[in-house]
Amino acid sequence: MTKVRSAPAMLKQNQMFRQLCSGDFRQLIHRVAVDPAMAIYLDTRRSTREKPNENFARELLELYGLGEGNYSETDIQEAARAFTGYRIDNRTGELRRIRRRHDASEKTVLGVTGSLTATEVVDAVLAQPACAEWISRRFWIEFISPTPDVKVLKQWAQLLQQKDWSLRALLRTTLLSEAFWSEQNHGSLVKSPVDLVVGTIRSLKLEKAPAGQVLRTLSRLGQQLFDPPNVAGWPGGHQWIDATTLLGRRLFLTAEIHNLAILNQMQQLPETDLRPPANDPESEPEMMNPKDSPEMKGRRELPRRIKARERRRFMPQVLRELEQLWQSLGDTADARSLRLQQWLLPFKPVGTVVQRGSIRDRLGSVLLDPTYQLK
Amino acid sequence: MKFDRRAFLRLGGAACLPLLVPGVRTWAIDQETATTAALGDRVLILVELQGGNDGLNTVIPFRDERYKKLRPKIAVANSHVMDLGNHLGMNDALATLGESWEAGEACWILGLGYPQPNRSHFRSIEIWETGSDSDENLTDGWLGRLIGSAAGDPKRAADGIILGGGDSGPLHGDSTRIIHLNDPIQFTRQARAVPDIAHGKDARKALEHLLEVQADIKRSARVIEEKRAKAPALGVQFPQSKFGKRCEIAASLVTSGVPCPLIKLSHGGFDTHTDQLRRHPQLLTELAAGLAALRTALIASGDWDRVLISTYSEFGRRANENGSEGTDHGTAAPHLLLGGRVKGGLAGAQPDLGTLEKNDLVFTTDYRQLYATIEQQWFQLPANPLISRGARPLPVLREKPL
Repeated sequence: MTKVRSAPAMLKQNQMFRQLCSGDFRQLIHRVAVDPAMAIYLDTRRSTREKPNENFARELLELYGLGEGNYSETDIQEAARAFTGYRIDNRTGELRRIRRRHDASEKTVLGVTGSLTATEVVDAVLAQPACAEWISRRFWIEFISPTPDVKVLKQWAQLLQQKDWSLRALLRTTLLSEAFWSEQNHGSLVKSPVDLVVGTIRSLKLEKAPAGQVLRTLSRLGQQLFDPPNVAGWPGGHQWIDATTLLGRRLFLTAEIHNLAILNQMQQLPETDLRPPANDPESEPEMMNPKDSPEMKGRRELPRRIKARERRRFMPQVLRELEQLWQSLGDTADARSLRLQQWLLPFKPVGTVVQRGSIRDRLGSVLLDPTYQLK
Repeated sequence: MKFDRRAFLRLGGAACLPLLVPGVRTWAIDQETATTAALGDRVLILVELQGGNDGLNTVIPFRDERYKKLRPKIAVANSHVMDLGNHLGMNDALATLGESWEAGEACWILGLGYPQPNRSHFRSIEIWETGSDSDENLTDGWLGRLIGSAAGDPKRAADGIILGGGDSGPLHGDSTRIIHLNDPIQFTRQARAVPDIAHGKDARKALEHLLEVQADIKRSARVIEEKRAKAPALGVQFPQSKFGKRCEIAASLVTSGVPCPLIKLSHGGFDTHTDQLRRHPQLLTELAAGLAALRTALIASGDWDRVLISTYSEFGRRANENGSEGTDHGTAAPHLLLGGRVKGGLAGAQPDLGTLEKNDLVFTTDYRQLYATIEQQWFQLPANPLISRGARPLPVLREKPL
């Protein structure tokens, strides 16, 4: 977002990802190659015959399609020439090739020779055996562990091609694989802020909690949506966790999640039941980042900080719902307690988990166990 | 030959690499100082002027007619300029720094920048923070690299402390331990709630890392709490601005002897595209008042000679004013060094207003000369080509305090 600076283009790109993420990978990568937000982000729109810009070509080979070691610098330079002359059409907002700016002369990319347009270069990437393997590797790293088994990747790559590059089929294979279920891979990945925050909100059924707060939390934990640190995305893994973000994660799982639960309740009330927050002497505008303020405009105004009065009013309902959740976990307290851990933790807790007391205390101690940060 | 402790540490610093090898390190230095030997007990306080500080209205070529021509509306009037000699003057919004200037403890390094300047906030601050060339992408911060293998020293509270928001920027590195503090009391309270869980090698690498970080938090908090409990009150009135409060926390960390070589504070709002004559002096006033209070506190506690304060910013601003009584993103700018060992005065060369490039100042001093100075002369480390990039240190520090 810092570079693209166009919310419509970013929205379109995100919708495209959502639409195609479980479909045909070939279609996805072709669309990425002509995506306007991408053309701005990686400078294709500035690339001309006279001065080809290698930015997109390099990332297409290195990050999106093949991975390092599966292409040469010459491939990048040649591919960059194919991505010249594309401009964003102001009327349609789509990418268009402008003949006189496009380099139509002969090039050779990954062994394919011809006058090669963007589309044909993407086809050349897809034709490489390394491509399906690269995608398989990304799936492994996302869902299983940081250390893929190359033998299995080769099988997956074959399957992906047999299934017409269906990402849904690859996902199914991943999630049904022995490696995915193998105990030694449990909890070998660190939850991203989105995994942690959105996952917790969903697990506890707090989906009505206001998005603005959730976004701020994510950004504090190091994952500001639509604004990754660079083209490779968030480095992730161990790097999600440092002294600051770990304390931030604990704060989210204690104070903030309570607030979200209360806000979640408030959001479900009819409009008239909410006190207007204007001129409230207790409200504290000083924490407000002016950049953040408008997102709640036009929507229901919810307080940014929960005050004692709201806590008293809404907490009973929050606790009632938690109690229902707790009851649904099993017949006896012990069974429920065990179920709670199995449900939320990847393996046995390493800290002390409360074995008696209220559901709130038990749940709190499970959420605060370090293993809850893993997946 | 008689060695005082500081000279001894300096030797340790110069011979830093062998000292990092366990076993070798302990041969000479007593237990108390062993851990901090690589960097000595010296502290660098970085002040990020967020948004791009307007250098021309900070250190002003007020005798140059062209200055007033470039800025008919927003040139600082001569009556608001404190003469620094050499046809240059300081914006009198910085008046509270006058005392340190008179004392010869403030140095302006002029014309800092780099070739093919980038004018994007985002990219240019990344260049400054990683110490890279304009067309090169480095991931680690320059101080992350500087601390390098000495990172994670267990006796330190942390390798770096970031005060009051902002990212770890120049301190970022794979092995550097950084903590962000808004408020040391809040931090230690949060850390107290973190349970002590025994940790060690674990086949589950992610868990191992997590427990390690958790133990780090506990340790940092313990050190900070312990040191602060013993420390006397600062006895200095700090300004109530956000920046002033950050300076106060920095002062309390240093004076209480919290072992941590790097502290970063930020001061925001320098992106003065509009209304600059009103906003810029306010920012400078806050900056100077905060730093002056910090100086007073550090002199009183006897820490002033082991602290170096340095400002930085993503860029300076355009030489000519824009249509809305402000300035747009520019290039080279002066930055301030402050400390008991700073050789006061002007260093580097003021960019010539006669040879602008696209209305921008042309840098005279590679910003990595500043980094080389900090690396080789402040921390007394051997030149690391990844940090100073061949740039030579500037003669802006004293061997001995005044």
